Amino acid sequence: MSKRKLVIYIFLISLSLLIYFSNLSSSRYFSFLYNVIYSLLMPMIELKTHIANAVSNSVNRYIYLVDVEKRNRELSKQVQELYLYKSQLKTCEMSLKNLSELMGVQAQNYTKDIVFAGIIGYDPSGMDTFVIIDKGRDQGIEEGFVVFYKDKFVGIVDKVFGSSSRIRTVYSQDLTISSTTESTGKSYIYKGGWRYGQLLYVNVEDPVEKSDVVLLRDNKKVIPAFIIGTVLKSEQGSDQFFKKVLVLPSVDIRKLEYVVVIKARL
Amino acid sequence: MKFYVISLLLAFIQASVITGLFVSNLYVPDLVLLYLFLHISRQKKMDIKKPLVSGFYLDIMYDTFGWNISGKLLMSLLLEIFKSRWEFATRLSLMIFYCLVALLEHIFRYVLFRLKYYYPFELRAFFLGFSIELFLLYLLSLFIIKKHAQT
Repeated sequence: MSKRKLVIYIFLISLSLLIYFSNLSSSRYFSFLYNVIYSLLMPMIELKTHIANAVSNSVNRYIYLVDVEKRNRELSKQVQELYLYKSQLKTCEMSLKNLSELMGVQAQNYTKDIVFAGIIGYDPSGMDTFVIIDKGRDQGIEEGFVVFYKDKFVGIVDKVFGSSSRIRTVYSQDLTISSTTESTGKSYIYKGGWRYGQLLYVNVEDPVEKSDVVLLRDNKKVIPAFIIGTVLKSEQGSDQFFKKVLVLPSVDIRKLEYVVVIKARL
Repeated sequence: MKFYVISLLLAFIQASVITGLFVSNLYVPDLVLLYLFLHISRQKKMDIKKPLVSGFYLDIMYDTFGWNISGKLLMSLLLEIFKSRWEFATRLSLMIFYCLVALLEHIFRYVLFRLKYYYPFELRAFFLGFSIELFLLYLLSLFIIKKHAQT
């Protein structure tokens, strides 16, 4: 390669680098030239942008649909399992009715109205003490109704407005409910808190240990035993009779998109 | 003239369809570079206008004046230096030289881009684009060698 050609190459590379870094298209001396070039090429550039967006959207849609299909298949399996579970429960319910008739005891009716509600507002303090749902008095919601998501307890309806309601969550210090643990089955009081709630009045001799599941306890046995959380710490407190038990709530308030309200009070 | 028309078409396809598939223009398989390399490597006398114009087409499409031109010119310069010393006699040698030159060109353009803007480097996307480029080169070299044998 001749020296002259090498110099031309180096000159052109340097010039293109200068153009690239100096943003000549926005300088007032060259903007006119750029505008002319772009106005001439505009139809082609618009077509290019249109095709690029269409291809990108199609690829994203395809990936999304593949994900949806996978999720659908998993959900179909879960629904099938739930159908089986439902039929088993029906059998149990029939047996219970027969048994209660034989024993002369009145069986509880477990079927309760439920309302699906979308979440429209969160606690601005970031402590997740409440959420606002999009169902209110118009859907028959009343204060004290129990709110859950999947098998997890979310909170209690605290205030009801025309078409929205406020739910006091398991992270709120103002929430105090009857609870129990899977291991003991004894009745305790769960007091909410952020980041951890507490089980109150747990006797020192009660076998409440770390990782024990804390459940909602309804003395009338109408509301199912939803999961409140798991025991994070169980130790001897300042009080000589009771343990200090910290509970990590199971529900992640900020991931919730909808909740279910049972039209029943604890 | 044929070169300029084909490289314009390739630049358009690269900037529209392939950029849509790869999302970022940093990791798009560079069809124009591939075509330019194959074209220049077969010519005895190199024409500086070809890398300049093909780079200009891409710069117009991506609105990055100077970025692609400098890359294509660098590739052309490197190729001219290599060609003066070695000959691409076999397909393997052609692919090795392309690997070397194209990697240098991509890294050069990526460094230029990072000096001006911030964009995270995704090694997987980069190698996917580069592998596609190499695969296309392999296919095209099969075709070219076949054509040479016929003539």
